[in-house]
Amino acid sequence: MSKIIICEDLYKSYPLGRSNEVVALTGINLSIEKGTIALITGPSGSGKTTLLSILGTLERPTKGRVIINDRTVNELSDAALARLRRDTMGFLFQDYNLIPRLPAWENVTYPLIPLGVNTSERKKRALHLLEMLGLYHRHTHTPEQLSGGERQRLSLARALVNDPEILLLDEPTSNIDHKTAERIMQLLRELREKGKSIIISSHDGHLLSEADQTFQLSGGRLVE
Amino acid sequence: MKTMGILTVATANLLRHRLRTFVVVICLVVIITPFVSALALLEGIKKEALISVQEGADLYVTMDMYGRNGMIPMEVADEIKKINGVLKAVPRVISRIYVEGRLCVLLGIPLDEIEETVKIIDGKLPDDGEIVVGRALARALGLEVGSNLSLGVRVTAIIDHSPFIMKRVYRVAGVFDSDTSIWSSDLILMGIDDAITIYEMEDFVSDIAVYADPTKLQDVADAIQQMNAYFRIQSKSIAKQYVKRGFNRKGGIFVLLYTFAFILAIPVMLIVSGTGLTERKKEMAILKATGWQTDEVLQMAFFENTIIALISAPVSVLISYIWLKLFNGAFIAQMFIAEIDSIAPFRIPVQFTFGTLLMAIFFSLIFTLVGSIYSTWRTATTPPAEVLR
Repeated sequence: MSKIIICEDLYKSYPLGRSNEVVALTGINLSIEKGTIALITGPSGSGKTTLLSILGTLERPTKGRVIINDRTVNELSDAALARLRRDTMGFLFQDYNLIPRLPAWENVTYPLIPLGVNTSERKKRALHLLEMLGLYHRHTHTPEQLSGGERQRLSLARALVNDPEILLLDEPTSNIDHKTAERIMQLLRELREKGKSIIISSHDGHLLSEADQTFQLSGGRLVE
Repeated sequence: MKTMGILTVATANLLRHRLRTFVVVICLVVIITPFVSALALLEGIKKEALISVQEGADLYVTMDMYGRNGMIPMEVADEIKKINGVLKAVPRVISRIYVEGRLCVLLGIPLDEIEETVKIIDGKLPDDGEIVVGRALARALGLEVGSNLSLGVRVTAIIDHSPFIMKRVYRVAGVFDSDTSIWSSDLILMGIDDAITIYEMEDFVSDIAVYADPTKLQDVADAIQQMNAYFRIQSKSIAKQYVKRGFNRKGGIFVLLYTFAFILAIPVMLIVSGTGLTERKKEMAILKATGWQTDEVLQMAFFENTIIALISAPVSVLISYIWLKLFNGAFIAQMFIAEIDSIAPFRIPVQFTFGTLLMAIFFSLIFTLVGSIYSTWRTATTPPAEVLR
């Protein structure tokens, strides 16, 4: 099985004042197989979200290399990174990051706009995903009118709309009931069957059984 | 298709942030409206000045006096009339005179020429010792047909030859229509002999207006010049050039001053367009995170600004139109038309052109772009995770 993401000696720190810094990740080495579910787990503040952001090219590491689909992303320009995200990735953020006061279906369609997909096709795809995630009846509602769980599903629909090769999910089951969580896991299993690579950051122990690979983080380091 | 999609997003953004959009449009309208009004006013005055020149004589002849226009003997008019191609040579006395504290233009021409010069709406053409006045001036001074008006007449004392001013009363014979022209609104028209008496310029006039066959105009000008090397001959085209140059300079000074005002207004626009910036930054980061590139985000911002400019500019032009047409340019016309109060006593000349609208759009766009494009670019080039954190 080929590797879709490789991290080599990854460091990430954030400056804190002039001379101090907060180290979020230290010496991370990992590789994620194509067509698997990889789980990054660990307690709060262990660096899960930071690692997911770096794997998703939403920020650059301070040191080390990230290789995605045999391309070293450290060397790519911002525009190339945006193209990479557009063409191969889908995100589900922990706090959803939906666009306020915009109908649910339109929120789902935004990643398709830079791809030049026409309005009717965008709407068709969005409604299909919302139906699949049990949100069709809410498609005209804005994020403010949705519950936490509904927002999470809406964010997932947006992550899936461009049919990405890599799906990065930050705490995908944290705000939803057991039944909905099972529905989402079923969907993720189906995606894996289709060859999609799914990277989940979560401290939900139930997901351990679903994962093909597990990476345990503690204090910004990988724990064996 | 992509561009249409981005345009749709830009429109949706403006609708979602209605309050911000409204405030930005209002600010732009407040800034742009006086500018548009001034441009329309300047164009209107310029156009009227050019019409005035166009409808005037073909040549104006004066004497050179230290490089300026000096008075010319009246008899020259008779000599000019003899030149082949000359249709008419009209001696004129033209001056500025204070009447009851109001600066007016006094024009003296042969009585038989007055009928062709103005349209009498009340009363009759003047005889000796009589005047006709513009409607606006009549209204301002409370004059009507039959009223008397005292004008200062220059007189030289017989004994010691010292000059002094004595009052002479003229009867208002008629009132002419002046509501359409700023040039004739303060005009007092009288026979040339009376005008000469007022200024004690016996046998001299201010200038001679020459009307000539257009095909022989240059020959006529040459012939007049040959009569006397000290004659100053001003043709219609030169007068037009002076008018244009004068207005362009006035317009240029105004644009310069307004540009300074624009510069002062830019920080205001920055603050206004930055309203809700945190939310907007987050939205841009979401777009970047979901695959939008920096140029696509900038394109979206450009579309938003263009839409705002396309709304603000016509609104500014409309308000300006109402201000100038319905309210006769109250409080702004006096900046461009000399010696009028905050409300002009005559209909001010105004001209709105397609260029006025384009200027309004251009400046609106510049403003909104200056107010937003840098912050948009900064956000769009910051890693999305950093903005979303």
